[in-house]
Order: sequence, then C-alpha cells, then structure tokens
Amino acid sequence: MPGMTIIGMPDASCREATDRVRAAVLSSRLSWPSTKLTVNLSPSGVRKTGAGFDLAIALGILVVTEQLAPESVRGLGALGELGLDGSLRAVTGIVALAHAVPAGRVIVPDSQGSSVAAVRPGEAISARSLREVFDALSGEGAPLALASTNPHDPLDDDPRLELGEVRGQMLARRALEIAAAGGHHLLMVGPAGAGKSMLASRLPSLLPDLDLDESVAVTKVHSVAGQRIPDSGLLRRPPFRAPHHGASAVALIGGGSQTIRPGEISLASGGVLFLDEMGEFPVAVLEALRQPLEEGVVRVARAHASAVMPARFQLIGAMNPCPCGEARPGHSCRCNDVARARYARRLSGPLLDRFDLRIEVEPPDPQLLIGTSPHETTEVVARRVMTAREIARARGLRCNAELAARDLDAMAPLTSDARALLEATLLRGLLSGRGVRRVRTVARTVVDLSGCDGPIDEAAIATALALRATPFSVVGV
Amino acid sequence: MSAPFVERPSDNERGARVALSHIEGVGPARLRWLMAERSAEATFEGLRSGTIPADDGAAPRGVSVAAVQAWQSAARAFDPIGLVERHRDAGIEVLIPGDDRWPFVDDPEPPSVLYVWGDPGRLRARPAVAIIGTRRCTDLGRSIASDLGADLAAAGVDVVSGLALGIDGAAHAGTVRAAQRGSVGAHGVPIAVVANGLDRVSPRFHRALTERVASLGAVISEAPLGTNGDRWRFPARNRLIAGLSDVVIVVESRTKGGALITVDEAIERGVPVMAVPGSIRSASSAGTNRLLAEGAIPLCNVDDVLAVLNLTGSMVGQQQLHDDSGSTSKVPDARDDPLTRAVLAELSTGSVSIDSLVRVSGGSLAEVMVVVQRLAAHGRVSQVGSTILLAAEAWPQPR
Repeated sequence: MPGMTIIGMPDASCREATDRVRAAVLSSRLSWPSTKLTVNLSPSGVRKTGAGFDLAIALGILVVTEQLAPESVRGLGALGELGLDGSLRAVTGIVALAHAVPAGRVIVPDSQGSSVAAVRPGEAISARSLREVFDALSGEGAPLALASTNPHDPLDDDPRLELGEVRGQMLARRALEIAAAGGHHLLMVGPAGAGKSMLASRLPSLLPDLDLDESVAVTKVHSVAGQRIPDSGLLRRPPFRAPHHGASAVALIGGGSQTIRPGEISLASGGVLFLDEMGEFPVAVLEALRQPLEEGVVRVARAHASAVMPARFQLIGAMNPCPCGEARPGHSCRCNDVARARYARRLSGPLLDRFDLRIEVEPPDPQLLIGTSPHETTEVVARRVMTAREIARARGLRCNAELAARDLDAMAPLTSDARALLEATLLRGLLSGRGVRRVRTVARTVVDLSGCDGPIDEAAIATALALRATPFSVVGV
Repeated sequence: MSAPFVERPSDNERGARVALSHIEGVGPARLRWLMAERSAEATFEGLRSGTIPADDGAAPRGVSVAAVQAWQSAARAFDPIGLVERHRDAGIEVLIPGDDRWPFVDDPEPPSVLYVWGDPGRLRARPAVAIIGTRRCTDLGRSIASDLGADLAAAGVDVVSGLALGIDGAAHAGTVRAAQRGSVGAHGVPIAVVANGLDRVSPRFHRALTERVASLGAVISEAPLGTNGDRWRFPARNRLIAGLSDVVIVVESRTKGGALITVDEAIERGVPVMAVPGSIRSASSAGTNRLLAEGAIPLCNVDDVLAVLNLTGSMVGQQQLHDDSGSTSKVPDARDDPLTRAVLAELSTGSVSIDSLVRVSGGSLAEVMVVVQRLAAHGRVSQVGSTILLAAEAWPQPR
C-alpha cells in the first residue's frame, strides 16, 4: 500500500508534512515512489513541532528514491516549509533552528536568508523552491547563491521617540537618563496623565545599539517566539516590551503546555520590560519576576520538558500612588490608610528593593505644556549615555547596575563631602545599609554621565538620594 | 453628678466597678441611672439581690423589664475579685475614682472604671494635648498631624488621640517617633484612648502602633478585656479624650464626624479648641474651617499651641531630639549661600516639587539636590516622592 508515515513524536503540523511533501515533489515535476515510506525523526523521544522539516524530508525521499545522489546532500542542512506548489516558505524560529544545525552549509527559505546569514555567515544558502534546490544539487541547474546579510536598514529601528517632547519633568528625565546609562531598574509612581508611559517609551531611544552577540541572542528569542525579524536579519536595537497587566504568569514568564515558549521577560532580554499599572498586576505574577531579576535567566519546568531562557531585562515600573491615584501632598486622596497600605504592599519589599531609582512623577505645570523652552533632545542625551556605558565597560561591566558591593570602594570612591552627606543621611535613619550601597552605585552612573571616571562627588550622591524617594506615603511605625 | 468620692477605694468597690463594666448593654448613662449616687458596691449587690433598679427612678428610654432582668442575672454570675485579677494577670492596671492616679477628678462625666495598658502614672502628668481628626484625611493633614505630634512630644507635652486611621494614627506615629528619640523623662509620650477592650485592637492595621504607644505611654479604655467596639462606644470614648487634655487640636475634619463630638465634649469641659486652617475647597478641612469661623483658635504653628498652654519657647529650645555634632556634613547656612536662601524662600509655602525648586531657584538640578539633601540630612526638610516638605524653622525641632 503506497503511503507515508512520520514517526518520532511529530505534532499535528509536523505530521501533515506527509501531504505537503508529496504534493510539492509532484508539482516540482519529480517522481513519487509507489512504495510505503516511513520517515523517522530522531531522536524519537523529543517532540517535533512545526513545518520546518518539510524540505529535509523531501530531500531525504529524493535520495532514497535515487533521484538525488547521496553525496550531493552530505553535510548539508535544510530548513523550510514546502507549499503544495513546491515553493519554499518561511519558518518560525529559523534563527534558533539554524543555530542548532551542525556546522556546514544550510539551505533556508529565501525570505529568511539574511537572518540566518547573520548568525551563520558564509554558510547560509537561500532558495525559493524545491525544484531550484533539486536542480542545484543534481547539477542540472545553477548552484544556489550564498545568502548575505542585508545592510542595516534604519527603518527597521524603533521609531526614535524624542525626549525633547517631554515637557518639564526635569527630575524624571534625569532619572530616565541615569536608568539608560546604568541599566538601573526604575519605578515611577504618579497619577494617570502624569506622563509615566511617555517617559518609559523614550528609554529605548536612549540606549545604544546591541553588540553582535547580544543581537544574535535577542534575534534567536524573537525568532522562536515568531516575532517579526527585520529584513536585515538581526535585531540591533534593544527590545521594548510593554505587556498589559491582564497578562498571565505564563505570558510574562514563559512556558506553555505543548512547547515551552519564551515569555515577555525573555523577549525583553537585552532591552526594556515596561510594566504599566504595576499595582494592577496579580501579585503572583509580580513575585515571579524576582528570580529572573536576580539571575538574568528564567527557568521554566513543565512535565514534559524544562528550559532555561534569557531574561536579562531592565525593569521599568509605573503605578499609581494609591487606588484613587490622588495621593500627593496638597491633593485630596479618597483612600484610607488601609487601602493605601494594601495597594503599596502589592509591591513586596524584595521586589521594591530591586528598583535603584524610585521617583514620583507629577503632571507638569500647564504653563510648561504650552511654553516653548527647548529641552534636551534624545540625540544629546543618548550621546552621554553612550559615553557612560563605555566608561562602565572599561571596568569590565555591562552596566553599573551590575557593580558588586565589594568593588564599590575600588570603583566608586567617595570625596570627603560625598562621604559626609552619606553619613549624615545614614545617621538620620533615612537610609539602610543596602540603600547606601545602591545609592553609591547610582551615583557612579551620575558621575560617568559627566564623561569622567573620577571619584563620586557630593552632587552625585545628592542626586542619587533624591532619586531613591519613598514612593508611597503610608502611615506606620 | 460625679461619682461618690471614696477616700481609699476598697477592693470590693473596685471589683464591683469592674463587674458592672462587664454587664452587656450598660453604658455610662444607664450605669449612672442604676447607681443614683450609691457606691458601686451597693449598686452591684442591689442588682444581684434584685432590689436595684428601684421603682422610684423612671427608667431611661429603651430599657425594658427583660433587659433589667438580664442585667441582674448577669451580675449574679460575675466574680468581681476574679475579674480584677484577670485584668491584672494580663498586665492591665484597673483604676477607679479615688486612686492616686485617677485622672478624671473634676470631670462632669467620668468613666466608672479605667483599664490602662502601659504607664498609669502618665495620665495625670500634664500638659497633655489631644490631636484628632478625620479618618479620611489628606496627605498634608497626615504630615501636619505627625509633625505636631513629634514637635509637642519634643516640647515635653503628652499627646492624646484615639488610634483611628488617618489623623489619629499619624499623630500617634509622630509622637512615637519623637518619644523614641528623646531622653527618658524629657519628652512627652503618646496616650491612646480606645473604645474597645484593650485586647481587641481596632483597627488591626494599627496593631504595631498600639504596642508602641503602650510601651512608651499608655493605651486606655473604659471597656473591659474582650469588649468589641460597639458603635455607641466611639462617641462615648471621645469624652475621655477631651477629659484628659488641656487643649484639643483638630487637624482636619469634615462637616460631620467623631472629631466634632470630641470638640463638643471639650467645650463642655472648658478645654480650649484649636483648629488647623485648610483650603476652602478641601472637603477634609470643611469641618475645621467651620470651627475656626465659630471661634476655635487658629493653629498655624506649634508655638500657637505652646502659647495656649502657657509654655515658653525657651523650654522647647532645651529639648534636643537629636545631636548633629557627630556629623561632619556641612550645616546648610542660608546666610552665606544664595542658593540655600532661594530654596528655603521657595519652601516657605510648606511643600514644593523638586522640579519647581530647580526652576525657580535658578540653580542646576545637581546644585539644588546638594542643597536639599544637606537640608534633609540635618532635618530641615524631608522628601516625600518628588516633593520637598519644609520642617518650618519656627517649629522647635524638625523631623
């Protein structure tokens, strides 16, 4: 009985390769055997998903039916979904798949050639159809061309949002710049309409481009998650993810029942995770952020598999000061102490502790909204951020947020004025021991932003102190 | 009118008063009717034997024959001395009229018995000031109540309040903060008057605060252990706040509320009432502004309170909340630094955002931050969110 079976734990889309491959082979004017075929996907214990194996299965059948010589496919990788007409189509997760194929040439769909070429330079070959691949391998047609990375297209970048459009908000803009330069997590507390989202969305524009390693890592994750990859093949800008507070723990952290998919924190790895209305996220979801924040990776375990995914993101949180959003000095908040304490408690101590920068954002003065006084542009601030990042890199750090407490004395020495201010603040009980260390770390970034690697001065400490405000006014002892 | 004065209160009298306070449904007014100038001991025995209430006095409204019978059978079931022991075992002092430390000597409506958790000796120590107000207060109100509590305690004044959410809690918290820092004996302490039993802290949110108040000063109630806060107990409790205080301060109040009941009780006792003026658009200040219009004394800074108490400023000046001598950080001096002067001038309105400070003072963000953080390190200002609050120079000791 002629036919074809796929074994080795294929999922539905993979099993349907039976019909796709047969139609593709026939429409490519090649012959289909009249015997029964068994395709074994090995290792058989691992679940196979998706249509990415279509091309490899087709080439295997062409070899066993002696239409192609075995030598012609030796050491060759092949990725791509086949259409019924024999065309080669794009596959989700191609960058990660191509990365997993052993060294050697790999055939990929033409539309994804540039992405694969970026991670496997000189080895990616692109093709448009099964017939084209067959002709090249059998020597009947032209050999396949090496895929090349497209030049970086500036249009692929996130639209550079202009920081100069943010009116007023001197303190908040400064906090954003320091966050960008030092990689410090930033919490913004303020009523609706104060401009928290506007500020947060401008952070990516301040960050420098990803380097090649980061770029490949980010592109792999986005490819696996089926996110759009730019035509140049690589994501070069830090990602900015802003999941809604309705997002489930799995959507945020990653997971899933059939296949483990990266969550928002992995998609934000190398970039920014912005949680707007942080007080509205379920507490369990927020608490799940603590381990990835600590380790820079997320471990997801399921019954059938477990995975470790990158999660080195910069966390930007925004929330209201209380449920009614009006708790500011001089304003009439309608919430009682219990409601406010309960709201503030949604951010547990350990999670709040992760935020080196905590500011209150107030709606700007209406006069400033109309006024035309020029503010610093994204370009000017981004240049300072770049300088500061270079200084941090010279210390062997990716950014200052990673500065270890034991290195503080060596890498962030204090001037006598700075020491005196810090001690006076500590004596007054306004700062904890851990707080002192984090203030020094932030102050390091403040000094770096001025373009020098000198000791921490009093102004830097004062700025860092002001940016570590108690964001919630809750009565208690 | 007032409870019969007993030279040395007997154990039986004390036991009877404690037992009477345990009878459900008998509040201060009904108890007065039951006792009718008798001693508590005689009243309690009369209840047990069924001779009280006598037929001559007309029963107050709402008292039925069945209710009286329930009281009588409840009285028969009580062991008065055992009830007193139970409170002492729990660390609760039981005060009755005639005790040395009984604070309500000339009160028109004194409690029959007072349960004290903490130091009963503080209750007759004067001066004492009540700081009260609405539960639904503004942040500004909270901060004023807390600062007032701290500053009055630093000036050696005890601070009385009711442990409710909002203004009460903030006043206690400020007092606790100052009392913890001050040297023993030199500062005032917090005193809380609660409506329920001392083992039933309400609101639960203030449990930790309650324990601090008890350890530094006292938490008192006229209800025995195990009593829940029935609605009628709260207005009744307010008369005790007024009775313990030399001045009653209302920080924020709406047009109706418990704070205004305390004010009425204060007026009845001839205790001066002060109110903190607020915006005419703030609902939380509607009641206080009305009080001011009706003749309450305006409270614009802590010296106003001390003036009413006849305490001179010099006494205040001697109190040192903290000692800055160990710090080498530069003391901000407005005289020789124009930026410090500009910042303090801008802060004279009480609170200003950091952004406005930078805009108006003419300094850079970093320069202004240095000035502000130096001032904060010396307690001249404090930061809440991105707002800087002034601890007014006129006030004796800033936070």
